[in-house]
Amino acid sequence: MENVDVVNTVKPNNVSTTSSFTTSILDKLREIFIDKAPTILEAAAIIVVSVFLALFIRQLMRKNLKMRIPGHVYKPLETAIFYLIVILGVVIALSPFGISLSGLILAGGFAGIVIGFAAQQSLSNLMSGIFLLVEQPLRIGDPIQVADVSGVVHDISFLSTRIRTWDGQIVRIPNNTVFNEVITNYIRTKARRVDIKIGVHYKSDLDKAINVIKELLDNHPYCLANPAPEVFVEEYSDSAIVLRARCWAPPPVWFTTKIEIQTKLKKVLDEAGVVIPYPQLDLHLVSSTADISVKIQDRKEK
Amino acid sequence: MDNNILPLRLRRGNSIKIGEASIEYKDDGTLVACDRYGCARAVVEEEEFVDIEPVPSIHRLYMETTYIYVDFTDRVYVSGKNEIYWTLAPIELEVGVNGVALIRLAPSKIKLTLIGDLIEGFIARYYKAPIVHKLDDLEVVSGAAIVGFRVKGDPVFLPGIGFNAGLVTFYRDRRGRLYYPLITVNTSGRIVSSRPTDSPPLEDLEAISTRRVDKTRLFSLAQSSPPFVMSIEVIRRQPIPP
Repeated sequence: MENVDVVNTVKPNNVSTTSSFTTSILDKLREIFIDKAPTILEAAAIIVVSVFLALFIRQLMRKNLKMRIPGHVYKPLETAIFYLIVILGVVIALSPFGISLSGLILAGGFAGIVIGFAAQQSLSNLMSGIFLLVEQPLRIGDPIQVADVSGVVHDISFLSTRIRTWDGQIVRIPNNTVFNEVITNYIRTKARRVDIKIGVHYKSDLDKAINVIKELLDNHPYCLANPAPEVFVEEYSDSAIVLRARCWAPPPVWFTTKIEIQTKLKKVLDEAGVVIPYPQLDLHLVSSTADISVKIQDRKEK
Repeated sequence: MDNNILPLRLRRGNSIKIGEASIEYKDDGTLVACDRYGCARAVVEEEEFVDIEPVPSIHRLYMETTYIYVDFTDRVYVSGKNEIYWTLAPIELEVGVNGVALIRLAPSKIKLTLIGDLIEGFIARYYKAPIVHKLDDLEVVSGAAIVGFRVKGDPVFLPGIGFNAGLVTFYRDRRGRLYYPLITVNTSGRIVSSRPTDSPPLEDLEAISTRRVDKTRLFSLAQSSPPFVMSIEVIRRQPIPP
């Protein structure tokens, strides 16, 4: 009973505290949602307008600017302008609540430290992404090789680089990896060398072989006149005289040039009567005095 | 130009050959145009004629450059005293209907070259042609137009000239010969820079080309291309010691 009494005496006090707490919350909510409602609506409107404005400007840029400037310049520019407008909108929207730009930057700084510890890898990718955009060892549309991935750069974002491989797959590589790997960019020079090796028979006319290959290179529209094509003997190998044919071609048509020359090479050599030999082995006997018995056996007898 | 004066109109049921290019406009409206690099077909509805116009030789086989470089068959000494010289540069043929380009053809062999080094240099359409001091001495071949250029500056041995042909106008004389606009060439030490002017190389020439190519690609390429500048090898004579 005593307990019951105690409960009975305490209960009214509890109810009173809860009630005042609820009232206080309701007051606060009223203050936020009713008293400041116009300000919140205004802020929301500013953010919505800024997002629409950013989308509109992005659309305008895509229509008028995208075709006129290189993709590697356009893409980061578009991203930067889009986010700049949105961030500006957010800053303007928050200013009536007493949140200033410097406050945001400070808050961002603290948040940065906290997030930094939590997401070191992502930050490393972000920093590498920024360095990649500044240094530009690769650009959107460039044919490249990074580590063992080879293809065309499809997109460079702040965290990762996406490459469309030659067989049509999209490979996402974290920017940190891209930045620390050896990057081979196949299009940064104005010309790229086409290198082809071919073996001709030892009994073939070497000068003729060199001349027909040289003529093939000279007549190819993509083999540059300067630096001039060259054909030379690279090696006297076991079965053939190995010739090397070289010419320079503009990078966008390098592959076309290479496969066209490789395909035509056999035809022009055949037409010139130059033989491309199979691997062969000549057997010389030191002592030829002893008879060698040879038995020709039909395959069926085996 | 094979006795064909450009630009010209080809009526249905006719064919024409200019240099290594051939164009056949069949009775059923099929247009078949070929050059040494391949053939293209188009079907033209309800048009009696197709137009064939000369355009600068920068479109075939793919548009990599708007520069043309003419390599002289002989190096020539130029005094740089504002003299005019003559050479040839390649052209292409544009077949179109009512201002719409359908097919472009190369009436001569296509070759490209690198001007400058691999990193900073640029690609140009390559053509080998003679250089003469008197226009009458120049033998005009099929698939090429006459280029007159005026050289000012230091005396040099000139191996060739180049120019940005992206937006040039063609001219024609009374004999039907085609001309690129006058090119001005400035020589200063090892540097030779040249650019096309808006003027014909001779008086009494008729401006003929009304360009109708895809202006966005060509225009941006031609606009972004600076004047043709190359450095040449200069052999200085050693001073005789006193």
